[in-house]
Amino acid sequence: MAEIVGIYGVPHNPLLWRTLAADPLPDDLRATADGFARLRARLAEARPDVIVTVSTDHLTQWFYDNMPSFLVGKAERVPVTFWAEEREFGLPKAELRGDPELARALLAGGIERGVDFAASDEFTADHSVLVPLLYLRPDLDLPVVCVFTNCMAPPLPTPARFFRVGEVVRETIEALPGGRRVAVVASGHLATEVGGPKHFAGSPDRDFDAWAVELLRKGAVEEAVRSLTFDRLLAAGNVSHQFLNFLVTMGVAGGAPALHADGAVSRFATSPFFEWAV
Amino acid sequence: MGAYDIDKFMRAVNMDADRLRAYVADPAAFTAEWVAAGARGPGSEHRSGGILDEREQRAFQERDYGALYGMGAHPYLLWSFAEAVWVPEISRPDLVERFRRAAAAHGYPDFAT
Repeated sequence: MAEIVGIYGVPHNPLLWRTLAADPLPDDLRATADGFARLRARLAEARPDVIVTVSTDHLTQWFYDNMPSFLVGKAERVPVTFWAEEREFGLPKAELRGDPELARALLAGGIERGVDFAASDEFTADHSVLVPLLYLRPDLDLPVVCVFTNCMAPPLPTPARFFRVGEVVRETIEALPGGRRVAVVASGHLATEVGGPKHFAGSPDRDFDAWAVELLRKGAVEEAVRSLTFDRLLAAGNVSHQFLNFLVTMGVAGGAPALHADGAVSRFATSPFFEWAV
Repeated sequence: MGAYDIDKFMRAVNMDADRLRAYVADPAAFTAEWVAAGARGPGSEHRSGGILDEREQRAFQERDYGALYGMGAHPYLLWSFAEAVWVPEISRPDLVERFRRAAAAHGYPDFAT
């Protein structure tokens, strides 16, 4: 059967792309660079054949005219990213290989288990997929299956649903024939604000950051599902909802405590770095 | 009118180099053209949405991100739009400050469509 060989959670803050490229590296970004380097090594050790990404498009492809809650990208080729993101963040354009076979299996496996994923045979990924891969797998040499989650356009799915999606991803992968090695990479935020009264001034809520990291460190599924309401996340910062993507990886890990859970403080919102046992 | 139509306008400008250039060159003319096109096009851009009321049109004519924020523009999209249409006319650090003050006047408006 197929096997999950790595479960990770990382930031995708696109402003990191230019700042982490500075030479010498600014001192305040050392912990963030180290966080990526550590998980890059762990991912290499895991020797995956394919990466399933779990992340939120920023109203780039998926917009209010057609907004899924959860969607599997089934395309053979996955272009990244959009012109606006090249302009704003200096991100490179690239093309990732998809894995339609695994994507179809995730779609069918979700539906069989009560998670009615939407699906698309055209999927252009934004920085939420690209930034993690640029740091975790800089050669961009592995095929990816992109699972989109709506953390941007309220009403959002419930925290319990994010967790359940993770459980279903695991159940589906483990039921697949063949010996494929699958890594799951979620990307998101701790407390983060963009376009609001608290934006671009470091973390808008360090107490939230510490509490949220601890939830995953402890594997506190019930508390996470109960507490991470839309309003609680909004109070931490107006785009903090992308923390919910880590509930998916928590679900993939069966709710177990994280092997590693850390928030790297810098000039930006605190950068989350998580790894779960497989 | 409403948050959806505001977001639709911002996204259309923000994600296309030609539209961004045209809007920045003459926000009033671009906005008037957008409104005139209405539900008829161009292409599939407008469809059922895209109609802006007078207050919304004025905000786009004046690139008034504070007013748009108060009217329920999606904050992430609004920041990206504001940066696209004001920098480098205003430096990014200056815009960050101005935006913060403008948003603070409104708190956290509901941005659901």
